[in-house]
Amino acid sequence: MTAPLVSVSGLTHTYEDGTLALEGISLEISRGERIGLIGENGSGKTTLCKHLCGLLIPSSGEVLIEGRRIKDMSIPEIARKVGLLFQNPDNQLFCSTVREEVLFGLRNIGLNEREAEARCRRYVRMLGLQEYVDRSPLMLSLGVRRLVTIASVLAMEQDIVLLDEPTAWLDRAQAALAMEAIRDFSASGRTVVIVSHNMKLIAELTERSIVLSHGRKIADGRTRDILGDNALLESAGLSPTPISEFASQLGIAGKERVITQGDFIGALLSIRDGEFSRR
Amino acid sequence: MHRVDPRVKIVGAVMLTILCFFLSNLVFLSVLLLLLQILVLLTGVGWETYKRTIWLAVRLALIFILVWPFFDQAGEPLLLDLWAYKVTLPAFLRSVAVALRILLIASGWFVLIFTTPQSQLVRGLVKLGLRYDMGLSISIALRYLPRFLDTIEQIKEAQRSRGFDMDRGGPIMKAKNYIPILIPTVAIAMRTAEELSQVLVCKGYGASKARTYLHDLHMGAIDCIILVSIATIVPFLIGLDVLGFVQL
Repeated sequence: MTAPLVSVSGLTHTYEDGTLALEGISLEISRGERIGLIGENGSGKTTLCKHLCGLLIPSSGEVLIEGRRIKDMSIPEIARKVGLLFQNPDNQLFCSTVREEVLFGLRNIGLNEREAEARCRRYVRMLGLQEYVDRSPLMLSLGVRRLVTIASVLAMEQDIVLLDEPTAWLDRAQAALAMEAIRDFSASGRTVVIVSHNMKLIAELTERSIVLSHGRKIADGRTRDILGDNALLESAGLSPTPISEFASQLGIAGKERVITQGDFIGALLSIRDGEFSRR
Repeated sequence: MHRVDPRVKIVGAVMLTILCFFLSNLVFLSVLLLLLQILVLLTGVGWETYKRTIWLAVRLALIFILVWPFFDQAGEPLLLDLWAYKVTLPAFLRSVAVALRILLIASGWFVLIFTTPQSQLVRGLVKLGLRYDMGLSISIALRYLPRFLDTIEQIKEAQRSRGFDMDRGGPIMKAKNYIPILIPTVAIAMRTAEELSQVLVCKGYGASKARTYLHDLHMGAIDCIILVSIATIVPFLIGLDVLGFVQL
C-alpha cells in the first residue's frame, strides 16, 4: 500500500486572539484524488489549507507531506509539493506582466528558463490568456485576474494543489475554462483539493468530500454520499446542489443519489424505462 | 479613556507629539513612557492588540538606534569602532532618546485611535475646525491601516506558497524582498480608495453642505479638567525648556 501524499494527525489551531479554528483534524490524502473541502464560513477550511501549505504552525498535531514533517521542510521544498490558490486574486499578483506572473513561481522552484517558458505558454493557452500575456495583471478585469492566478498556480505542477473558490468572479465561459484546466491538471495524476461554497462545482469536479464544521471534521466520504445527505448538509450549514434539491422535491431518485444534472437525467430515464419508480 | 471627549484626546495626542520634539532627558522620557504604558493598560484594549500595533514602532525605534552611529559620532567615550560605524556614549544616549520619543508618540496615538470610534474621531476633528471631508479622510486612512497590514501578510503568504522566501539573504536582500509586496499593496489601496469614494457617493456624501450629526459632542467636567491640564502643563514645560530653566 503506497504511503499517503498528505497525512494530517490531530491538527489543532488556535489563533492569537483565542479563536479555535481547527480541532483534532486527522485525514489522509492520496495521489490523484479530487477532493472537495466544504463547510460554512468560519468552519476552518482556509486555516486547514494554510496548514497543508506550511503557512501556519499548528497549536498541536502535525502535517506530513510524503512522510516528512512539513515543519522540517524549507519554503522552496514545500512549494515544489503543495500549491495554494488564495481566494482573493489581488493578494497574489506581484509582477509587471501576466507572463512574469506565471513564471514567478516556476523560477522560485528552480525550473530552467526553457522549461519554465514552455509551461508558461501551455497554461496561458489553457486558461485563454494569450492576448493578456504582456499586460499588467493588476490592470485586467477581476475575472481575468482570477484566471491569471489559476494559471500561475497550476503551472507550478505541484503534487497537490489547494484551490480556494477557483471559479469565484468568473463568468460562464471563464468558469468553463477554469474547470477544464482543473480537470486536465487532475488527469495527469495530481491531487486537487477544491474549497468552495458552490456545491455544483464540488459535485462536478470531486469524488471525495470532507466536511468541516466549527473547526471539526464531521464527514469524509464520497462526494455523492455527502452531497446527497441533506441532514448532514443542514447540520454543516450547507445547501444541497440545486439539482439535488429539485430532484428531492420531485421525489426522483436513481441508482445513486442525484447531485448533478447528469444524475438527474439518468434518474428520469430510469423512471421512463421502468427501472425505478418515483418515491 | 473611552468616555473622554475625542477633542481632548486629539489635543492630548498632538501636544504629546509636540512635547516629544523638546524632550531629550532620558529619565524624563522613561518616566513619561512608563506613565503612558499605565494609561494604555487602563484603556483595557488588550495586550495582544497593543503588542501587534506597538511592535512596528519598536522596530522603527531599534532601526534608529542601529543607524544613528552613521550620522552622529560626536562625543566621548568611544564604545565601538568598526571603520565607518563608530558608537560613542553621548551619541548612543541621543539615539535612545529618539527611540523613546518614537515609542511615546506611538503609544499616545494608540490610546487615541483605540479608544475613539471612527465617527467620534471625525466629529472631534471637525469640531476642532477641520473640514469634514478632511476629517473623514484621516479617520478612514487610520481605520484601513490594520486592513492593509493584513493584506501585506496575505501577500507574503501567497508569495511563500509560490516558493518565494522573503527572509532569505542579509538585511539589504530582505529589504529588497519587500519591494514586490509594495506593488500589489499600492494597487489594492488605490482600488479600495476608488470603490470607497463610489460607495460614499451612493450614500449621498456631499449631497448637502449642511451635514447633520446623529450624536454630537459635549464636554463634561472631567474633559475640561484634562484639557486645561494638558493645555497648561505642556506649554509650561516647553517654556521652561526653551528658557533654559530645565532640560527636558
